[in-house]
Amino acid sequence: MSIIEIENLEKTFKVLNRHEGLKGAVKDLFSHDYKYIKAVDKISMKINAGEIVGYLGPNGAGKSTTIKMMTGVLDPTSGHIKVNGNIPYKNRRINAQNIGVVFGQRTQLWWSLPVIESFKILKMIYQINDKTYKDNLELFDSLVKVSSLYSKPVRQMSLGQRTLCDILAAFLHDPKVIFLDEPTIGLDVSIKSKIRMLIKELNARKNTTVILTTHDMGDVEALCQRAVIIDKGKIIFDDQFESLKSMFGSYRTLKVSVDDMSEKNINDTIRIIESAFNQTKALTVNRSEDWIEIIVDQDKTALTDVLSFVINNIHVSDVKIEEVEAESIIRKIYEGGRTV
Amino acid sequence: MKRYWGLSKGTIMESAAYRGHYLFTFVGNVFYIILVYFLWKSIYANTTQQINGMTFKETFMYLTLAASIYSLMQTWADWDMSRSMLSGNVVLQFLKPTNYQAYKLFENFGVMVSNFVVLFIPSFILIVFVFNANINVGLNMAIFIISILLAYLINFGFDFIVGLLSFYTESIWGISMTKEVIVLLFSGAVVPLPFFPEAMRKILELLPFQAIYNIPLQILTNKSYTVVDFLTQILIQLFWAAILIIGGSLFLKKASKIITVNGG
Ligand SMILES: Nc1ncnc2c1ncn2[C@@H]1O[C@H](COP(=O)(O)OP(=O)(O)OP(=O)(O)O)[C@@H](O)[C@H]1O
Ligand SMILES: [Mg+2]
Repeated sequence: MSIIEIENLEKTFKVLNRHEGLKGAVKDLFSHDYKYIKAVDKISMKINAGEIVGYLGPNGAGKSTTIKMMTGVLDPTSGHIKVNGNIPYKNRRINAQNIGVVFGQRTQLWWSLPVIESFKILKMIYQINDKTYKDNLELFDSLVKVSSLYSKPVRQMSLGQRTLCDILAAFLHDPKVIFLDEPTIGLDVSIKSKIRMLIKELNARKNTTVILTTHDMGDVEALCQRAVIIDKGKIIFDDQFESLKSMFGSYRTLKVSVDDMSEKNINDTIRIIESAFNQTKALTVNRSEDWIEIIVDQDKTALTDVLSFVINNIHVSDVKIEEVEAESIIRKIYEGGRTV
Repeated sequence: MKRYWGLSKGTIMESAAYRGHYLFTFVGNVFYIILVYFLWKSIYANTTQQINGMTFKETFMYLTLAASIYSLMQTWADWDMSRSMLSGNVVLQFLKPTNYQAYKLFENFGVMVSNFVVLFIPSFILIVFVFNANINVGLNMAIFIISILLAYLINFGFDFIVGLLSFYTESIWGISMTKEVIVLLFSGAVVPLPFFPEAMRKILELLPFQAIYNIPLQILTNKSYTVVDFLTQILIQLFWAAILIIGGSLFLKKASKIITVNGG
C-alpha cells in the first residue's frame, strides 16, 4: 500500500530579477521583471508504508521544495500529491497531525527552555495522550540515553545534541511519515551513527515511513533500501540502492596527486589523461580537493593500463586506488544523465 | 483550543528566561513617564484650571495608565512574523496541526501575560499609590480586565495583518513603524482624545484605534460611566476585535497561497 503518491508534480517559483546596488533596489520596487524557476519538474513516485527512501540530489535539485509540498506548506504549481490519503496543501492541518519533519538547519524546539518543556508543549499541540507520551519517552531513552539532556536549555546544547532531540521531537506523536531534510548536516561520525541507529530502530518498531534527504552517502548506505535521485527538478533514478551500487560495481577510483597543484597544471594533467583514453569513454576525471580523481570503468579499460599511463606520463607524487563511492556514482548520474 | 495553551505557557516560560529585557523596558517606561510629567506640566503652566475638561492630574494619570497599557501591548507579533518569514522558520509553524493565526495569537498571548505581571502590575501599583490616583475599585475593575483583553485582541489583529504583509514584501520595517505611530497617536495613548479638535475626535471615535487605549482607560477612570456605558464600550471593542480577527484570517487564506518558505 503506498502511503505517498506523487504524480506529475511541478513547482515553479516566480522571483524578481534583482538589480545591483541601491539604485537597483529602488528600481526593483517598481519592476515587473520576473523570472521563473522550475524547482520541481513533473516528478512522479510512489512510496510504501514502512519504507526508508533516500531522496538524493545535488544542491538546488529541488529536494527541499518537494518536501515542502509533501508537508503541505507549499502549493504545487500543478500535479497531484497524496500523503496518507490526504492532499497536503488542501488539508494541511490533518496532514500535519500524521507527519513529522526535521530540517537539519532549523530547530522546532524552544530556544530558551529545557527540552522536556518543548516536548510537553508538543504533547499539547499534537494532543498526544499520556500513555503514548510516556511510552515514547521511555523508548527514546532506551535507544539513545537522552534523559540527562532533557533539563538542558536548547541554546546550551551542541548541534549534535540538539539534532538528536529534534529528531525525537518529530517522532513524539507517532507520525506515519517522517521527513528528514539533511538531519546529519555538520555532525561528527559518532553522533551520525547514533542518529542512524535511532532512525533505523524507530522505523523498525513503529513502521514509520522515512523520507531522508542527505548529501552523506553513509546515511544512505546505512538506512535506505531505495534511492530516488533528483536533478534540476527531474527524477533521474528511482530504484533499489543496491542496484545503484551494482550498476557501477565495475568502477574503481584512481586518485593521483601531483607536486605542482596549480590550477593550470591540474587542468593540463586532466586534459592529458582524458585525451589519452578519449575513444574508450572509460574515464571521468575530476579534481577533488588535493587529488585528481579518475573514475575508471573496468569493463572498458583495464585499471592497470590507466595506472601505467599515468605513471609514465605524469609527475605523480602519490597514488591511491579506491572502491568507487556512492557519492561519485551519483555525481556520474548527475553529470551524464542516466547511462543505463 | 487545548492544543494552543501550551504555546502561551511556552512563551511565558521563555520570557522568564529574559529577565534583563524587562528591567530595561521598565526603566524605559519610567523615563517616558518623567518626560510626560514635565511636558504636560509646562502645558498646564499658565493655568490651574482644566484644559479640555481635564485637570493636570487627570491628564497625567490618563497618560501614565496609557503608558502601562502600552507596555502590555508591546508583544512584537508583527516583527516576530516578519523575522521568521525572512529566516524561513515560518515553515515550522505551518508544519503544526494548528491554525497559523491561532498559533500566533496564543504564542503572543503568553508575551502579553508576562508583560502584565512584570510590567503592568508594578506600574499600575506605582501610579495608584505614588500619584495617589483615586480609581474606583469595583465593577469597573472587572470590566477593565475584560476590556484590556479585548484591546489586546484588537492590537494583535493589527499586528497580525501587518505581519502577514511580510509574506509579500519581506521587509515590513516601514509599514510596522507607520502602524505603531498611527495606533499610538489615534488611540489616545500619547495625547488624550479630549485634546483633539472636535471634528477629528468624532472621526477617531469611529475608528478601531481608540478601542485599544481610550476605551479601557475610560472604563477605568471615568466616574460618570453607567452600566449601559460599560456595555456599549465593550460591544464596540467586540465589534472591532471580530472585524480585525476575521479580516486577518481571510488575509491569511490569501497570503498562505503565495508563501515561499525561504532556505532549505
Ligand atoms: N523560496 C524560493 N524562492 C525562489 N526560488 C527558490 C525558493 N526556494 C527554492 N528555490 C529554488 O528552487 C530550486 C530548488 O531548491 P531546493 O531548496 O528544493 O533545493 P535542494 O534540492 O533542497 O538543495 P540543497 O541540497 O542545497 O538543500 C533552487 O534553484 C532554488 O534556488
Ligand atoms: Mg535542501
